[in-house]
Amino acid sequence: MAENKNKRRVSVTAVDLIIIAALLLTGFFTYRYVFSDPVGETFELDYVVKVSAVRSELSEKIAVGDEVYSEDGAYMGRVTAYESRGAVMGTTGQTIPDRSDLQITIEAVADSGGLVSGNEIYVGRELSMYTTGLFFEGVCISVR
Amino acid sequence: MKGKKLAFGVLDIFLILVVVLSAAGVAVRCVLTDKNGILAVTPERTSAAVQILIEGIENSSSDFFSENAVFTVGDHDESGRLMSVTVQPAEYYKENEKGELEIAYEDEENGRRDVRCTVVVEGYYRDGIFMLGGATPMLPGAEVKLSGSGVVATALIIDTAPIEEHKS
Repeated sequence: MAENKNKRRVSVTAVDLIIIAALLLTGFFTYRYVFSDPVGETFELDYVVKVSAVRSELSEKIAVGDEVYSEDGAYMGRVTAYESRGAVMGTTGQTIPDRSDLQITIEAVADSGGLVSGNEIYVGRELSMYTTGLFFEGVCISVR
Repeated sequence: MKGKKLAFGVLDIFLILVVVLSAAGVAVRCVLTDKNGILAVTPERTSAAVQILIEGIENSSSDFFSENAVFTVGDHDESGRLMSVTVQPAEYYKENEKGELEIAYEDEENGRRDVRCTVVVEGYYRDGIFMLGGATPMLPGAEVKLSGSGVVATALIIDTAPIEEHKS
């Protein structure tokens, strides 16, 4: 009799199994949300942003190695090169005094879907971005 | 069956712990970190001197921009005081006889004006970037709205520098 009393039975019902399954799923999705780094393969992406007719006093405020962020603060890569040329009027080809066209090459890591911090990068896309030294609005002219 | 008591067991405690930890994880991710998942620490409020350029405003409107004039800067109700104000005839481009563009200046008496000045405003430095209202990066190349009594203007930011001594 005493032996039977100590042998307490634990019964697992269908409801318990549903609760456990629900919790496991909750845990899984919570984990995915909290550690939402891209799952799967990532690859390096180089893209060039052309910024037209920047005042010459501003064109010197960008540097190789600067980190680049989108207007809403998402990390968009690092400046690996930039080129400053005299700005030219698109229609007439005249040189614009005191203005420069900047071509900024940015190296970034894209997820398996080709997105950089959730942003699609493609030729022709207008981008508003900033580094620690310069805010700029330009057009993507190359992706490789 | 009717009088069956609900027993509170170890499994229940475990389940509650899992739920609480999940909620805490989401809270940490949403509340304490920025968009890049980096722990966000509220920085100290400080002042910065922001050099700005207002281009091509009406001659009469340029009178509003004077030393110590106070403007609302941006959309965050931050007040800024003007310093080192320089008002000059506005620059524009004209074509010379060779067909090249060159810089010319508006009429000294009645033409439009370019205003260069420094606005002292409070905000936060985050990762070396001065953020107005903690949200708007005040960086060279960005535009910011200045509004005061009688005039609203859009200014191009030329430079930003911290100034601890102007902290109020």
